[in-house]
Amino acid sequence: MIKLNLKITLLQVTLLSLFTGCGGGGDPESEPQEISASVPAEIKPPQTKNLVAPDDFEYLTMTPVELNVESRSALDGRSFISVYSEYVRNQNNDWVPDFDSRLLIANFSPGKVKQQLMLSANTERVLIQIWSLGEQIELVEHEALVENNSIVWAF
Amino acid sequence: MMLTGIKKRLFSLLLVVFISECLAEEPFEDCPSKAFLFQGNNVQIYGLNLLTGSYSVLENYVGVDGNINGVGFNFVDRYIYGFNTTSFSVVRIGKDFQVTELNVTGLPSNTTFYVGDVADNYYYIYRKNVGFYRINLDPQRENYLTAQRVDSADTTLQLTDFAIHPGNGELYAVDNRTGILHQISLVTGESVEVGDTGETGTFGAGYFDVNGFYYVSRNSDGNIFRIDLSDPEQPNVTAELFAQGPFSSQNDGARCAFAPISVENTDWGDAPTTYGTLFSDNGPRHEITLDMYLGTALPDGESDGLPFAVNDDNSNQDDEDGIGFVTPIEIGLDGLIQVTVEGEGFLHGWIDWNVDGDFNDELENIITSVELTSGTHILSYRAPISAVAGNSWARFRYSSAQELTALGGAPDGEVEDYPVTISQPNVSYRYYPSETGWVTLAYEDIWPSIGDYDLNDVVMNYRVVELVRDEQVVRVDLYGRLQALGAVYHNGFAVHLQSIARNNIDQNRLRILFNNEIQSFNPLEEEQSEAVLKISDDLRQNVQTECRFYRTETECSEEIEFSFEVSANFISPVDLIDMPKAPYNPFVFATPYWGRGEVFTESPGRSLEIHLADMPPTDLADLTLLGMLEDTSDIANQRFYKTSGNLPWAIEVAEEWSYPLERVDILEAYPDFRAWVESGGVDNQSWYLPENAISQKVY
Repeated sequence: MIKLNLKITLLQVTLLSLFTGCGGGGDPESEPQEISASVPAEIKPPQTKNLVAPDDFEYLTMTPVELNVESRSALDGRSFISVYSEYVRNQNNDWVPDFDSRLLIANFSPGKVKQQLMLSANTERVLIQIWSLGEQIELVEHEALVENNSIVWAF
Repeated sequence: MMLTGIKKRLFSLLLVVFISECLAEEPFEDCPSKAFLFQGNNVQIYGLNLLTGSYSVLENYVGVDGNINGVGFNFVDRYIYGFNTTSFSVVRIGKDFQVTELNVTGLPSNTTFYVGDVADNYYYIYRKNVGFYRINLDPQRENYLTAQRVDSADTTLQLTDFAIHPGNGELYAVDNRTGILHQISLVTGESVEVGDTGETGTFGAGYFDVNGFYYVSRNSDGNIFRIDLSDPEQPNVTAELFAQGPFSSQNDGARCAFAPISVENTDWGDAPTTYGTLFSDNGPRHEITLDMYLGTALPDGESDGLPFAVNDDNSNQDDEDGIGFVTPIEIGLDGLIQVTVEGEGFLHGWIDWNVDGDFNDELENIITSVELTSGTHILSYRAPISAVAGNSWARFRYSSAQELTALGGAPDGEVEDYPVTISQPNVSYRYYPSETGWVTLAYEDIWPSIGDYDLNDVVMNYRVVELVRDEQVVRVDLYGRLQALGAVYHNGFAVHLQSIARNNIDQNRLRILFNNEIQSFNPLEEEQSEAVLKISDDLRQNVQTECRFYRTETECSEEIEFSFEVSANFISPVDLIDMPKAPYNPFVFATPYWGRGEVFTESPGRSLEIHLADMPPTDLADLTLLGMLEDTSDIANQRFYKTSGNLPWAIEVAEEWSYPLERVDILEAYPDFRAWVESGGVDNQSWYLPENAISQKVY
């Protein structure tokens, strides 16, 4: 056991000595700089380290949004809701979701869903699709606005 | 000026010679990659892409009537040689695909030959019970165009073509009746059985490629099989279906065996390698055509399959857009897929129900040759009761080929592979940031000193999927993909699930995968009161970089090498309201035993953690480090990992982000970052989008 500890200590010393003086992400100020008295000082571009942010800023680009969707009439069979942040209309004017952008897929058989989603702060609208597998396959869909950190649709 | 009679005659003669020379057949200019397929009577010549089975007519009429068979490519003079089975003559064909009949002596009269190939300037032909003949094609040698019968040859084999291995120079042929592969000596004509290919039928055309793979085309259905003779000493004789080409009752093929198989203009799959994705595994591939594909985006071409985690969408353009699972995949129940296609063709689909890494098992072929027209369609499938809950893969192929398996070539269309999740009924999925999207976590690792803010010391793409049943989270899946390591320090990576007790993680079902391979270690970190899933102690060990930094300098660019996936079930499901918000608390920490610069006289190791702004350290963090140097963390006020100017050491960006190059301040790369920071996130919320980047400043 003592031998093992000695080995670890030796390893630590070795590795520490290897990295003494090495910077982390490579701070340019930690590296030798060429000095030339004849060259006038350049105006340095703004540097992030000189910025000042508000106290409570968390630096998140995603924001919580409350989703609240409700059907006023009974749906036929098993039903599922999907919410997409990216979608287009095709030549037939039908919505075509980008399936990669799906935020939620959930059982909608009870006829309502209330959940919190996380969206990028610049998402302004989403596509909601509800598929029902009854005697016939049915689709109900709606483009909803993201307002006041919430998405609401009743149909 | 008048020409005299003699001059006129001389001029006419020269003109005739000149025209004759111009019209004379010329050899092929190179060693063609395509195979030549001779079919029909009168013969037509097709160019055949062995990789995909696609073909096109190269010549409708070769200048003579009849069928030409027993063809072979002579790489010495770059002509094709064959036998006109109608006129009983040996013929030569140049690049204009017109026939010149050769005056060969020594062959039996009124006897036709269907089997032939060329090697070392000799044309070899064979017919059962007639003989094996060698014909000299070199005018510099004796007996030019004289056939010599090889009396020692075995003439009992039922063959319809043979081909010469470019490596060992031996002939190979499949006996049509028995399916036995034979190796035949060019010198003696004697044959030995190599093994049973498992396939029978009239194999009218046989070809080799430069790597020693032998391809045989079956007349009755056009199926092209591949036999691995790359190591003739240890052959893999089993014939695997490789592609589908044209079929005909009269069929023969020739190819320059020294040419590799061309992989140009081909779409490939991107499921993990166990599903058969690479060329070496006969992975699925489609020749790209403008009129047939899945989705709305024309497929991009690749030179080979791109197994997950470097998948097709990430390698080039986002063209995996043909299939959408519009309902969850629930065990024992029906589900729906939305399929968008271009062109009229047949759809084929597979789901790996038992999650064993292949599409070979019963019921895994969920869609078989469903005919579709251009547009969007809804199709249903049933998940078997025997399906295993978990993360799996699906494969879809669309082509004019009516019969396709999960492997092999197709002459047109597209293949798309999708990661899927199979679940018990009534499970919902909540995605962060989306089903297949990423957020980017970017860290400065020089904490507690202030960094250079290139924010690329550790750059990780990250995704969270929560499985919800009855308003409770039953499982979380974490996905990550290491984008960059722009630091000399060594860092580990972990994710803290705040407020989730460590003992609420079901360790029996806890699963971690690296690059889609299950790892044997337990990622649930010891000596923590809350759940912390440790992905790596040292991310540098997860990549093998040749560069000083990993993917932060354009002059030393490398592929993404490391991805992870963790799946953690809760013993007691957690109410939605009690779940921490995604992304939870992902952080980097100092790798044990490695130095951390002059600030630390001893390696801080695991005790040094760096989190997103205001995210708390874990139980294993050394709290005495908080507040050192530029850090102004204040535990009492729940303030963590911020400078006096409220700047962070880590940020999260809402998408797959192009991070700054090495030592480029983020303000240089993204000028809008400044207003976003100074406004507390109110202004310039799209600062990180590509259109707001200085393109030469980002990786």
